[in-house]
This record gives sequence, structure tokens and C-alpha cells, in this order.
Amino acid sequence: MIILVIIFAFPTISFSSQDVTLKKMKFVLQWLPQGQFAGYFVGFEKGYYRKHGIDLEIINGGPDISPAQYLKEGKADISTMWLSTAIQKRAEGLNIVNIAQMFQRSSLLIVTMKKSGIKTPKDLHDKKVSIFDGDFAIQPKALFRLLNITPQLIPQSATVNLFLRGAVDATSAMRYNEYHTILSSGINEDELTVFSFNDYNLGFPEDGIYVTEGFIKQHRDLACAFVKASIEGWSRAFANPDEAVDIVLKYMKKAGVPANRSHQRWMIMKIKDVIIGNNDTNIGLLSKDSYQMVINELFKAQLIKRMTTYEDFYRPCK
Amino acid sequence: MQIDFLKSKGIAFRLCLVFSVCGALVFSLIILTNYLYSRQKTEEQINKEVNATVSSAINKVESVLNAVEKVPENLAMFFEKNRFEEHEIKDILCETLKRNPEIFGLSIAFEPNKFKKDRVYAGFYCFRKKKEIVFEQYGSDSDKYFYQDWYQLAKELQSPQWSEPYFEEQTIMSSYSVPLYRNVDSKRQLIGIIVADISLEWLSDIVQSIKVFQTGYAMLISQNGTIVTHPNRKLIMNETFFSIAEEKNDLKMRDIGRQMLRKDSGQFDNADIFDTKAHVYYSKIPSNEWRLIILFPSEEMLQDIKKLNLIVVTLAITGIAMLSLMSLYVAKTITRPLTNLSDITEQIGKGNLEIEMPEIQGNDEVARLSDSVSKMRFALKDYIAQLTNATIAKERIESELRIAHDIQMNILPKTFPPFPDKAEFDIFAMIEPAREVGGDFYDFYLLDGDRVCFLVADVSGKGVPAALFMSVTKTFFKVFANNAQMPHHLLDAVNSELSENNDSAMFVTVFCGILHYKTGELYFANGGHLPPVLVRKDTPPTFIEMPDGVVLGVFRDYKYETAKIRLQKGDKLILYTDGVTEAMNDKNELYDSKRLINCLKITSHMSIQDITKNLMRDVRVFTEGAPQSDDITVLCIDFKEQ
Repeated sequence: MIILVIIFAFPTISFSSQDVTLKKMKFVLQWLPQGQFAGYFVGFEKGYYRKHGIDLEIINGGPDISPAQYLKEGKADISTMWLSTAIQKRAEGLNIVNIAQMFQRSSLLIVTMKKSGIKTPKDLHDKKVSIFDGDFAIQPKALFRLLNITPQLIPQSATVNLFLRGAVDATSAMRYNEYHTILSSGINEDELTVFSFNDYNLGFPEDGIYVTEGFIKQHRDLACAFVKASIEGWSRAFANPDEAVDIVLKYMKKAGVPANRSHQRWMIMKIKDVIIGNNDTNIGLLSKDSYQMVINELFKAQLIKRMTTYEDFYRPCK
Repeated sequence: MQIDFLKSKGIAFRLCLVFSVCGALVFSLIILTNYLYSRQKTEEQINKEVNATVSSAINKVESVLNAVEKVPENLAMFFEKNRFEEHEIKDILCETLKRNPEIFGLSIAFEPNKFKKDRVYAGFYCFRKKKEIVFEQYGSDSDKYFYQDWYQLAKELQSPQWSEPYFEEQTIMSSYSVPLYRNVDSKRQLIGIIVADISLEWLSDIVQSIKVFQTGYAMLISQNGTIVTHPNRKLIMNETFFSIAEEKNDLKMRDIGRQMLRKDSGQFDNADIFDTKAHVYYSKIPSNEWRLIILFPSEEMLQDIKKLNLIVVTLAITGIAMLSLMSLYVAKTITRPLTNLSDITEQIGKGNLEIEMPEIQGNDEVARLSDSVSKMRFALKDYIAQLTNATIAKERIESELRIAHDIQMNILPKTFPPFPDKAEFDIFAMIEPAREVGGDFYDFYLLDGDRVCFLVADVSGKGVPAALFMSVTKTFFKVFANNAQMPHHLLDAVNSELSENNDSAMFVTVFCGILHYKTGELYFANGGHLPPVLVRKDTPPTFIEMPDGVVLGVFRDYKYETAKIRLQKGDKLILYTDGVTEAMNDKNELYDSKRLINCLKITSHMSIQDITKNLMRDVRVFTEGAPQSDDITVLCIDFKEQ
């Protein structure tokens, strides 16, 4: 119901746009295809983008692909990016703007085995903790700074194997991804202790939709049409998770990425929590508080030297 | 026909039923035992086979893995002691690779600045590319190899590690990483990691070649439960044991997976995983701690047992059918002669003793029964012959007795009134003879001097002796009556004669009276008889007073007495025997003297004929036709009024 209200709350793009010549648009993902992008794949498969006048091309991301670079170089018109990443890129001088903040809360966790005896984040002091590199490390480092503890940080590759083999005491994990990988390796939830950054005032909003300032000046309608079609895609994905999983698996197979249904279904259902939440009618909204919290943490971590205003950075479709 | 058969429920049916039911029970027991035993044996056999297969497969895998492990381990020892330049490292890696065809690539990666002080990234890799051996260096800001799993696992765990399986150019690979240490300033320091990459094709081949009987197959899962090999290729590297369980929402399967990864080896019976019920065996590959799993679908295991059971059941049904037919046949051979015998005995029962007996062979119970029936038939024949003779004899005797009885009755005077010319008195008598010849009699004769003598007597006993004794007594009375002045003279004389030579100790009771019919004087004597009843006008009937006197024929010299009464005109005297007063009805009640008096009271005004007939009728009514053992005799004398 809420979803329907949201869909019809965007009146700007007319449904007759199918008749209009479709405008080409290139969309780069921030990672390899997976349930994290289910809404876009579903929207694409179901023709929502075409319905909104967009002839979309989806470019898969990956370890070697930087969406910011793609936007800068004009290899793509639009992309998804973490909020913290985008703020840093903007601070570095790349003129990108957020047109929708899809993931409103953080999925990043620190996971430890119950039997390790670690009960609070403070217990991580001096323990071996593997954390993802780059922007994934911002929140853990901020937390450790805040708690004034110094865990022994081990750079974490894309896997949780160090944790599963017992090489580290705790590991970072995305709730929608690696956390399920741990469960899929035969560890039960009740055997784990989980710290969510949302609980420590470090719940960085994650995936948002970005275009360059130049693009939004010229093609604001197109950008907004993209957002609208994407939200429709996500709504359909959440309403029909089986179909969404089928679609995602199709794209993963195409990309040659190992995949299984249970993992992708888990991913979509967990992402539903961060897109819709419990009682969230503001899909795609970036709150000023969240923005401020992230930008402050980045500044504190000396990852940015100048601050962009919320208004400059966030250009939602009204 | 079957319904008739069921209805008859003869011996054959019951025998057949009992044998069939017993047979079915016995066979059921056999089938059950056979099932359980064969199941156990099959399971044992399968367990044995599977365990042998598992250990042989694991040995095979281990020997390869161990051989691979030796290569980087030896290299590590070699590098620990010596420092080498780039070209030397290339030679060492590529030369070693050449000699170890099972290895795909060999690499050494150094910790930052450990190869050369100013060199952060130092990775050397020699690997096979098509049939060539190629050398490469790697490591850069965008390729921080020391963050890779193969590197970090060995580094952090400080021991050689097999990596999780991974895909490389559509081949499943795994790497064996050995940490390389060197003593720097007498401190043991990690220098780098030596790693051997191997393709797991051969491992897949080994696992996939495992076949247990028809449908049993093997699979391999990694330490994390990732499916490494499985007949369903779609699962390989995509799914883990647990993701499949999650997809099926099968907590049991998840639990099985957890147990497999926790324990070195074990077995699950009838586990429902991978969409089939199967016996699941698992065992750890010691080197990389992966698990070899063998699934043996229960269906196949049961198939053989089912087949075996089907044979046994078929045999059992055939056996039961044969048993039934045999028992039916045997039963029929028994019951057929029995049925014949039954018919014959029925015929015999109807009196056909001449019926032909069937020939029965052998000496069994039926033959003996037949023999007995035959003997019985002859015995019956004899008996019936005897019985016929006896009946003839008895009938002759009875006929003679009847004639005797008739004669006896004929000697009694039957003409009434006996003296029609005598107007002074009348006599009427009736006798109702008992079944057998009895001993009652009555008689009367005119004597000189206007006298009439009359008497009623009852001889003791029954039958011919009594009849003869009665004839004798009657004759004596007749003979002596003419010479007797008084009744006691007559009794004395007759008693004297009867007592003579009375060896049979028979006796007779007598009432004897002599009436002077002109005067009405009545003289009478009693020989142990019942007192007569005097019926007088306007007076109730009374028994007359009797003089003493015993029965005749016992005491030879006994002297009887005579008493006298005078009859009035119209008096009637009723004489009778104990056949009247002791007449008995069905309820064993006696007619007795009270009833006699009552009857006479009612009939007192009648003629003596009617009095007599009514009395007789009254007795008959009382006895309701019950056969009487005694003769019933009544004699009336009427001293007429004129």
C-alpha cells in the first residue's frame, strides 16, 4: 500500500512517454550483479525504464570498476554509490549529486563467534578483526576511535574465510551478503554475536543514485524518470521476491558470478529492510541528519578537507 | 459353487482353512524375518562396500594432495635458508613446476619490503598456459595480493593452508599456501607465502567415478560446505550444503551438514537430502578438511530387498495355494468315504440292512469306521431277527392270556336278572377286568329252603396263577355251596381245600352271604374282604358290621363266623372288591370308601342295575381312563319291595 502511494506520488513523468523517442542512458553498478541491485534489474526486465522514456544500458561494476570514474569520464550517465564514497569524491572535486538515497541505513556489521567471549564492541580491543578495505573501513575505524580501543586490524578480502577458519576473532560483513555467507557455511545465528553500526550512531546510509551536476542540469527529467522507474522496480522486487531472484540469477549467470537462490533471496529481503524499513514512507530520501553524520565522520577521519552543503549535494526529484 | 462350499463348512473346508491360515502365518513370519534379515545384511554389505570405497577414495585423494603439499613445503625450506634474485626465483619456480605435472602453478609472494627493502610488491608466479610454462610478476596498488585469502590464511594461521575452492578459467582450483619464515635479528619473521595452485579436475574425476551399486554417488564439500563436486553441475561452487537446506527450508539437512563438518566421519540412515531419501556416509579428507559424502538412495537398497521379498511372497502364495489344494485333496479322500458311510447309515437307519457296503482300502480310521458300520449292520440284523422271534413268542403268550381271560370272564354268570321267576330279590353284577388277567370273581346260586347264596371274591396276585386259583376257588365254592347251612361252613370248607397244598401261598378274600329271601334274614361270613354297603330307604348308605375272618387259603383250620342281619323290603346290599376303593387316578389319589358312600347316596333310589353302572362310571370318571391294575367288581342284591 505504502509502495503504491509512493509510486503515484511522482506525477512528473507521463505514462505516454512510451510514444516519445527513448533517450539512451548508461547506468553503472558499483559492484558485480547481485541482489543488491535487484530493483534495477527487475525494472529493466519489466520495461519500467522504457515506460519512463529511457533506453537503459546497465554496466556491471566490479573490483576494477570505479563508478565515480565512469561518471567523470562520461562512460556512464548515472550510477549507484555509497554515500560516504560519493561525499569523498565530491570533496575531491568530482561534481556529482545525489538524486535518491536508496539504502537509508547501514548494513555493515561486525560479526564474532559467541564462544570468543566478545560481548560488546569494547571487547574487540587487541583482538584480530578483519575489516574490508576502503570506505567499508570508515565506520569500524570511527567506532574504534570512539570507543578508544585498538583492535588488531586485518585487511579483509571479499570473503569471510579468515573468520570461518578462525584466523581472526571478528570480521566485517554486510548483513545482506557476507553475514548470510557465514550462515551458509553452517554457522547458526545463535552462535554469533553481531554489532550493527546503526546501533552506534554510525549507521551510514549506503547505496544512493548519482549523476553529475552537468547531467542534472541538462536532463533532470531523465534522471528523475530513472529514479521513478527504479523505485517501481524495487517495489516489484519486494512484492515478488521469487521473480526478482530469478532475474538477478539470470544476470549473475550472464556475468559468470557464482550464485544461489537462497543467498540472493536473503539479500533482497535484507535490502528491503534498508530501503523501506519498518514505517518508512520516504523511499529515496536522504535526511539532512544522516548526511551531516556521515560528512562529520569523514571530516573527523580526515578523509575530506572541505564540506559540501546538504543542498548542494542532494538534488531530489520533487 | 464357492458359496455352497463356504456354506457347507465341512471338514474339507475347515481343514483347508486351518492349513491356509497356518500357512499364511508361518509364511508371514518367514517373510518378515527374511525382510529384516536381508535388510540388515544388505545394509551391512552396503556399509562395508561404502566404507571401503570411501577409504580407497580418500587414500587416493590424500596421496595426490600430500604429494602437492610437499612441493611448496620443500620450496619454503629452500627459501628459508637462501636468498635469491628474480631470475633465480623464476628458474626455481618454473623448474619445480615442470617436474610436478599435477601442479598448475607455483608462486612466491613476499611481505612488503621483504624481498627488497624498497620494493612493496613482490609476487612471482610460474604457471601453465596451454602447454607452455609462463612466468609472471604481480603486485601493485590495485593488486594487493597480501589481502588475498590464500595469502592471509597461511599468514594469520601461521601454518600451511588449503584454500577454499575457487574458479579460474572455468576450472575449479584450490591453493596450498605455506608461510615462509626467516630469522631476522634472531627473530622469526614472516617473509612471504609460497603457494601451489592445483586444478581439482582430477579430484572431481575421482569423486565422480565413485559409484555405489546402481544409484549411489559421491560428492565433495569444502570446509565451508561449498559443493565442490556433485552430479548436478549447477550446484558446484554456487551452492553450499546449507544454502540448499535453506532453499528447501530443511533444518534437518542443515543439522546434518553441521554434524558432517564437525565430525571426521559418520553416517546418517534415511536422510532426506538432495531430494532423495538416502543412506549418507561422510568422511574427512585429512589434508584440506573437506568432506567426501556418499549418498546411497534408500530406494535402491530397498529395491533389492523388495525384489527378494516379492519372490518370497510369490513363493509363499504358491505354497499356501498348494497347501490348500493338498489339504483339500486329503480332506476329500477322508470325507468322501465318510459321506458314503453317512448315506449308508442313513439307509440302515431306514431299515435297509441289505445295502451294499463300499470297499475301502487300507487300515486307517475311515476303513475301521466302515468296518464298524458293517459289523453294526450285521449285529442289527441279528438283533432284529431275535427281536422278531421274541415278539412272536410274546404275542402268542399274550393271545393265550387273552383267551384265558375271556374264558375266565365267561365262567362268571352274565345273565341278568339271573332268577327272573323270583320276585323277592334281584341280583346284578359287573366286572371290569384289569389290563392283565385278574382274580376277581362273583357268583350266586339258589339254595334249598328259599335261600340264595352270593359272594364276591378277590384272589391275590395277577396273571395266569391268579386266574387258575380263582377258577379253583370258584369251583370249590360251587361244589360246597349246596351242602353249606351257614356261610361260615362254606368258608371253612373252601378254606380247608384251598389251604391244602397251597405251596404258592396264594390266597383269596371273600364276602359270602346267604339270604332267606322270604324273610329277609341275611347270614354272612367274611374272609378278609371289604365290608358291603347297605342301602336302605331314608337312611344314608352304611357299611355293615362284619364278623372276624381272615383271607382264605392260608390257615387251613381257621374257623370263620357267621353274622346275621335282617333286611327290610327295599334294602339293597352293594358288594365290591378293592378294585373300587383302590382305583387310582393320575395324581395317585385313591377312589376310597368316602367317595363310594357319596356315590351310593346319590344313586340309592335307583335300580341295582343303575346303581352298579353309575358306580362303575363314577370310578371311571375318577380315574380319568388311567389303566387300572385291579379288576373292578360290583355286585348288588336287591331285597325287593314287590
